[in-house]
Amino acid sequence: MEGIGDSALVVARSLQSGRRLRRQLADKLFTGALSGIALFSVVAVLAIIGVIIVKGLPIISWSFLTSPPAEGMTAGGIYPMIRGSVLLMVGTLVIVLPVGILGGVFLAEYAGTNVFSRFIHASVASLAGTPSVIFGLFGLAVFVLMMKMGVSLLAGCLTLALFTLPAVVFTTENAIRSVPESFIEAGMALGLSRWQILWKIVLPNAIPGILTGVVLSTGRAAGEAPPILLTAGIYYATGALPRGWEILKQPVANLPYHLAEGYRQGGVIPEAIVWGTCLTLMLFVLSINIWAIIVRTRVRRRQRW
Amino acid sequence: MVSSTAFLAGEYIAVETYSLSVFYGETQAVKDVSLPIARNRVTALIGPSGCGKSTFLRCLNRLNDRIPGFRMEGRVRVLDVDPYGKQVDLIELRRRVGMVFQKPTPLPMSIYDNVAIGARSHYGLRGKKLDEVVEQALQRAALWDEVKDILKRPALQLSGGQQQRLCIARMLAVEPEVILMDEPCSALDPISTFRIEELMIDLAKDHTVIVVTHNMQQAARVSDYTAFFMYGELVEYDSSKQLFLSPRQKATEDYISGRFG
Amino acid sequence: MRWLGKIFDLSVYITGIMVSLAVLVMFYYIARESAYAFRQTFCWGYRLALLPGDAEPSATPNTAHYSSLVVVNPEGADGLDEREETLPAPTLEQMRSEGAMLATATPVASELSQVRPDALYRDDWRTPKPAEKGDRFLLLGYASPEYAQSTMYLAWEPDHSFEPRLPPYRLVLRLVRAPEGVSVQPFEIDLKKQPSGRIALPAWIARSDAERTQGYVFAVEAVPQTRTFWATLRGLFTAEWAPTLIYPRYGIVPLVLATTLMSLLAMLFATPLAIATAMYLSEIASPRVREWLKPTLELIASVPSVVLGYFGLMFVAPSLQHWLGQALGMESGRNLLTTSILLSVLAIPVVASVTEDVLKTVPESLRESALALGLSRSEMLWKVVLPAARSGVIAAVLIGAARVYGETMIVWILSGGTAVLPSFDSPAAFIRSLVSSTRGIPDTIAIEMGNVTFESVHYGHLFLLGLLLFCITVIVNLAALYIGRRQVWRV
Repeated sequence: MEGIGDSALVVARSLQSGRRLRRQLADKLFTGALSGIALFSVVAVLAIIGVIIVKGLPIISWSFLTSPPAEGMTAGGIYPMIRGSVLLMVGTLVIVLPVGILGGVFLAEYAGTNVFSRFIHASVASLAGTPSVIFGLFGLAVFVLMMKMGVSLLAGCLTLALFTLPAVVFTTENAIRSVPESFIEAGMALGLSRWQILWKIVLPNAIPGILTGVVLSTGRAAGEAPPILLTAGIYYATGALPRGWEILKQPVANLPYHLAEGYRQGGVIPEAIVWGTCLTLMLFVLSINIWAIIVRTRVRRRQRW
Repeated sequence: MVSSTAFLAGEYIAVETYSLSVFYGETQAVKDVSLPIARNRVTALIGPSGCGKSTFLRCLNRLNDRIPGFRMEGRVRVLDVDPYGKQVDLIELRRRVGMVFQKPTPLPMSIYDNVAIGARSHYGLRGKKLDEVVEQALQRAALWDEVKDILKRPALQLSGGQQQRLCIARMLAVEPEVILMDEPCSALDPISTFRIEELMIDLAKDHTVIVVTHNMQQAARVSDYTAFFMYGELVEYDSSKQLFLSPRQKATEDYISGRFG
Repeated sequence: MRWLGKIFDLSVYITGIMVSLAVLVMFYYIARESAYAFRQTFCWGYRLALLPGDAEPSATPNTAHYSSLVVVNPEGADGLDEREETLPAPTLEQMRSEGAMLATATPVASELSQVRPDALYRDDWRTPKPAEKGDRFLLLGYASPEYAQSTMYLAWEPDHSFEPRLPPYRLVLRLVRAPEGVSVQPFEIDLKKQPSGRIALPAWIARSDAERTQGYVFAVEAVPQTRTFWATLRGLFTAEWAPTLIYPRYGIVPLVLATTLMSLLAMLFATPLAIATAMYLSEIASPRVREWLKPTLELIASVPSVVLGYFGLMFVAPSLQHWLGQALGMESGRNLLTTSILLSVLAIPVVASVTEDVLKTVPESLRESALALGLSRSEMLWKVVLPAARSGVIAAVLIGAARVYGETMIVWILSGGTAVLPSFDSPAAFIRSLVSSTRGIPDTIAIEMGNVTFESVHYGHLFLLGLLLFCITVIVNLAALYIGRRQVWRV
């Protein structure tokens, strides 16, 4: 080898075979450690879910899910809380869907790429990372006090909608951006106007992605306690609901609030019921997510453009 | 289709494949290629895009492994080692078989570290000895004079041609014996291309150089032997002079005279 | 059709602008509500007493008979219920029978000429007034005839839990009038510089009840010194958060420190685990494993934090207490450490998921060239892929940190709920504060907002805390956005 580094390499060469063994060992160790750690964190977190299921399952029954609490929360079921959570989620969806999708369309198609659009991105991104308790504060100040809605379902839905908004906007933007440029060019070649292209070509192709994204983020919102703590929650709930629009003006019991307020009241609710409520809330959120993830995977598989 | 390799008489064969076939899932990228390659010579692989040249090259240092669905048949021998054998030490194989890619791929670190990273890992060099190896590698790659004062700068600040020579220096620093070049000049300007070609000829004094190229003039200029691939098959293999002046196959003639490809 | 398009365009523009301004609107309203914090009226209270000259120096005024409490407390002093009866100043007869011979008394009128002996009271707690006006509180001091000594002391100290440095006034104790025939140097004491002390005076004897008004007259005065705004602001940087005290304290330092400490600790646990998980997912796992693991990670990220909190409360806290309680001297499983552990559970999926996305964007060509150089897979990951993805990984960690920093329910349920300053004196003390009860910013907001009077000073302070939390998370998120956008490789 009359190559390079004669002096240095001749010495180094002699050490090389030992080094090689060491490196291979290090490689094996490193890979093993990575796999081990990954396994540990996944198993640890799955174990949490497992424990909650094991502890909560015994109390879950049809009557637990369909009857109101009894004897000062020490017995009975959690029906009003489940119903309240569903109401909150539906209300949130109704509000956030049009606003979020239009916002996403704006970001993807109308805002362009300039200083202004970068500002919008930064502002939506900071909203996305804002803690939920801040949304609760805002909802309290603006919806509950300033707009005089009081602690009510409507105020809660508005707050949760604001909380989910950035996620919905980003999902919509991504879904629209992932529609291939060639589709849009084809539409342009046909002489369609911008909104016709959007309406007839882009949105139909983007809508599955948007919807699953929206459901995912409202699912997460449905499990958040702080936003509704100050805007929509009530601890003692009877089985009856007011009729008609009146329902929007009343506070609702719901699962996360029940857990949070139950903790504040200090151990009134028996542990078994708490585990059961935890499990119900978790299943409520997880089932929404699992459904959305499955749909998304299917849609992605189908869309091979 | 290649009938005889008599033109290789007297050459020491450094790399050889016997009826090598490569599949990516359902598609076959390389079909039954047997190709002996001479030591310390430049061998060019030419042919139209997607004809399996790069795939062939990547079999020699097993860089194909990472591609999903990869499967190979036949046998490969590189420097008396079977890369696909059970006992093979991939690290050592890839040290001995260096590779330069089509697009310059400087690593996101300083110029110095780019060259040093291999020598550090393989030989555990540091300090003065490492400096020495880095300098010699850069000199051999004809880059030293341009970068000796900016060694600590990020490698990404270099021009495309400098980056490619940096990649060559990086490879030389680990003392390879075989050098695989996958269209090393296709992303470069003519002057840089010229310098890399000079470098190839220089490197072939003590390295086996295998270069994939689209550029027939380049193949004719730098290579001692040329293999022509089409649709994954080896169509013709001969000394470059023979192949470019009087090709035996009709397809080869069509290709080198620019009738297709 | 065209007008439909116009309407669509218009609504997109309007919504888009609304969405992009949402964060500013939120900022505005939260800042506006936090203005209530600055409407604070600062309460103050001092105990003053006359002590006999032979009293040992450690004797404190509030143990002496007939001390006076001078209090300004416009909020209405909670917990002072037991004093709500009117206590007239003692007659000389009463003093004699109780063995005390010295007294201070407060006149109802503030003009000396109008002070009548039968309208003397022991305290001034009954007439709370806003203190900014610089109100003056008069005290009369006298001794009963049995008091033979030639000297006595005027002693003063701040009321229990009153911190003299907080109010924006100069608090002054002054001798307004010396009794006739007594020669004494007039004095004026800055109560902020000298919050407690005593001053010697010649004894003055009241021979009859009527003469009680002829004795010493002292005054405690509050003179405006700094703006309430600055005083409120300065009050934030103190070490005690106790908004329900008679003299409320709004020091946010312990809350900020606790939240920061638990977030740091949580990220310390979560970062290596999350990055390793992400590296495993993107570099080592087979496609089949990845297909399952990635959605699982997303699922885990969506477990409601209140459930995680309860899991910590009913499962982790008892086990930690059981296994480590003795060794670390834990009083309860609900402490900073437990909180951090559960917070890291929250952070792992977030950080891992973002990191995995980042690692995926590292070009394959970098990996190939590293492998072609003969680097092993671990060397490739350590020396090439991770450095190349560095800024993205930092961004992922920042995003996770912001998420953890603002997490409410886990901290609410697991922190224990006492706002104390962590100790940095010694490693042992530090570890002790890690395993003791604490309280962070978001949980304080959520817990106390439930009991607060709307638009009060306390309410304003909770919004102020919210504003701080908002700013911190926005800054961290923007930093993540900015850092994450920088790519070290060229595409």
